[in-house]
Amino acid sequence: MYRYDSYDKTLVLERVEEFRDQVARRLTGALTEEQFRPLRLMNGLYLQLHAYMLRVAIPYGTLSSDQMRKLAHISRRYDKGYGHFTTRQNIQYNWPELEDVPDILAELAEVEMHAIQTSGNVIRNVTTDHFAGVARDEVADPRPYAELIRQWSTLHPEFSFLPRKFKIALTGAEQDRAAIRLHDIGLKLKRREDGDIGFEVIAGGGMGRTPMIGPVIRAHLEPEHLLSYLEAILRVYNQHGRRDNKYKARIKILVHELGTDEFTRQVEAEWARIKDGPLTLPEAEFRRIQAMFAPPPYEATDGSDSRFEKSLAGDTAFAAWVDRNVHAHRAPGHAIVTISLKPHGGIPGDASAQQMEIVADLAERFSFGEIRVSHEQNLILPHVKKSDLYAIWWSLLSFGLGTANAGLLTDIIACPGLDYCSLANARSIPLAQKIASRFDDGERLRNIGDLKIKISGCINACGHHHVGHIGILGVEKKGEELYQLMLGGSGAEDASLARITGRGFSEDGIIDAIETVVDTYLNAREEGEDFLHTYRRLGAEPFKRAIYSGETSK
Amino acid sequence: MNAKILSAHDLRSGLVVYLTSEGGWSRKLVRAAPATDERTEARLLDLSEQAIGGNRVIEPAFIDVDWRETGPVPARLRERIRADGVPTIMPEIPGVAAE
Repeated sequence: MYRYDSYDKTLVLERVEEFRDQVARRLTGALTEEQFRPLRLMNGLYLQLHAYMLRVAIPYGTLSSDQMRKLAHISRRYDKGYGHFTTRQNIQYNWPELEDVPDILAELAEVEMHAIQTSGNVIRNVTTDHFAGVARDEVADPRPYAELIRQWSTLHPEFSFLPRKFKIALTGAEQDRAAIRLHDIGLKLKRREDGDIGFEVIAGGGMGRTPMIGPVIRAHLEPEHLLSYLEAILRVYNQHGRRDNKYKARIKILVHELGTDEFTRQVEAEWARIKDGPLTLPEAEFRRIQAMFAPPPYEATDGSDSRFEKSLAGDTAFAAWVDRNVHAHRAPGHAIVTISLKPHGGIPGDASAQQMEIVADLAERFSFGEIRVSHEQNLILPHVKKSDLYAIWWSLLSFGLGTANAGLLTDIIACPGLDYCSLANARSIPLAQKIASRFDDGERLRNIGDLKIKISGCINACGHHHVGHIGILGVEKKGEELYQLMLGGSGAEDASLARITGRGFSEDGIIDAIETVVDTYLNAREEGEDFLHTYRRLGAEPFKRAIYSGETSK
Repeated sequence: MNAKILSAHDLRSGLVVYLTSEGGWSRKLVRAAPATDERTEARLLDLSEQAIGGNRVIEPAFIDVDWRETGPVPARLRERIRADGVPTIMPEIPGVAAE
C-alpha cells in the first residue's frame, strides 16, 4: 500500500489546522454560514436531512487494518457507532458535531487519511477495481496509476473550480468492476497486439439526470503520458464545459454537444502542446510508487488444499458462501473474499464499529493487513489463503458479515435516500430491505443467479439505477413516494443503460413488480442464461406485459 | 388548518430545530410556532434572523404543515422524516431522536 511522504503529511496536517481555525471562527461568529459553507464543503462536511455528514476519502478503495480501526474508533467516539460505505468507495459519518470535525480530521491524518475533495466541483476520489492487483484477468495493476492521479489531482490549482464535480475510475482487468464507462473519465489498461501496455481512454460517461455511456477517445495511451493526457482533457472541459446551467455542466454534456470527434480533436491539440513536458512520468518515481503496491509475500503452494476441499465438501452453507463470495486469485492457493455488507434486513453499505474492527482484525490475521471497499458497497479481503477461508467465514457469520449473496439479487446498491439525504425525493433503504425480505431464501437466490438491483432516491443516481439489471428510481408524486422500474442496465464491460418499463409503483407495488420480472425471467431463460442476457435476448416487451397485465410469459 | 412553521438546523450539532412562539428553538415539532398569515410569517422570519445573527442556527426555511388538534403534521414526507430526527429505518439511534 502507498505510504505518505513528507509532502503528503504536511499537506494534510496543514489542512487540518486551517480547518480547525475556520471552525473556531465559525463558532464565534467571525465567519457567517454563507462564508463558511464552501470551506466546510471543501473538507467533506455536508449538511444533510437530519444533521451534518462527513465524507471521508478512501483513495481507490484501499485500506489498511490500522486505517479501518481508526474509522471504527471515529464512528464510536464522535458519531453513532457506525459508518456508511459508498459507491465512490468512501465512508460517510451521519452525525458528527461541528466542533468535533477538526479533531476527527486530525485523527484521520494520523493514519494518512482525509476528507479533502470529497465535495465540490473538483476531481473527486479516484476509484478502481476492488480486485486490483489480485484479479486473474488483470493486464496490469491500476493502483500505482490511481495513486499518481490522486497526487496530481489533490489541490490541483487549475482544477479547483471546475464547471461541476469530476470522477475518474480505472481498471486493469478485462472484466469491468469499476464502471469505467459511466465516469467522467474511465481508464482501462490493455495490452496491444505488439505487447505494449497502455490505457484505453474513455471520456464523457456518467449517470445522473442525463445518463451517457462514455465513448473511447483514445485506444492506446502510453502510461508515461497519463497525467499530461488527463490534464489536456480537464483543460478542454474546464474551458468549455457549461457553467450557465448546473444540469448541463458535466463533461458528458460537452462531449455530447461537441461530438466525440471534435472533443477528441480539441483534447489531442491541447495534449500536443503539453506532451513530453513536466507531467511525463519520471520512471524512477513511478517505480518508487509501484514498489509500494508489490504483491505481499504469499506462501508458496501448488494451489491444492485438502483442508479447504474437506470443509467445502462437508458444509453446504460454507460451500454456498464460497460459490458467491470467494473469487479466483492470481496467486496459487489464495483467494479474494467479498464480505457482504448486505445482510437481509440490514442497511446496504453500513457497518458498525464492531464490524469494522472485526474486518480489520481478520485482514491483519489473514490478508496481510489489507482491505478494499467496492463500489458495490461491500468490503474485500484481497489476499486470503484458501486454508483460512473456513475460519474467516465462521468469524464473519458471528458478526453478521457472512451473507452469501455477492452478485445475487439481494446484493443491492442503494443510496442513502430520503432517510438521510437532503436531495432525495424517496427512500431507498426500506425498499432494499423489503426486496431482501421478499427474496430471503438462499436456494431461490442461487437459482435466480447473477442479478444486480440498484436503487436511487432521486435523479442524481448515487444508487446507479441507470446501470442496474433492475434499476429503481424513487420520485415524489403528490406528496407520496413513487418508484419507477427500469430494466436492462449494466455498468460492466458490456455497459448499457436501463430503460423505464412504464408507469411507476407504490413501495409494495414495486416489490411485486420485481418478483414478476424475476418470474418472467425464470420462465423464459435458456440453459445457463443469466437475467441480463435473457432480457437482452427477449427485449422489454414480455417483461412489460407481465408487469402491467399480470401475466407471466412462458 | 394550513400553516407554516420555521425549521432550521442547530449550528453546533446540525440537528433539526423548530422556532417556538417564545423565540426559542426546539427539537420537537409540536413546539413549533404556527404562522397562518403574512404578518406572523414576517415575525418568525425576523426571530430566525436574530438567531442566525446570534450564531445559533443555520439554513432556516418555512415548511408547510397541516395544523391538527394533536399538533402540526408536515405536508411533505421529507419534512415528516426530518421531524422524527432519525432515519425511518433506525428509529433507535440514541441522542438524536426528536421525541
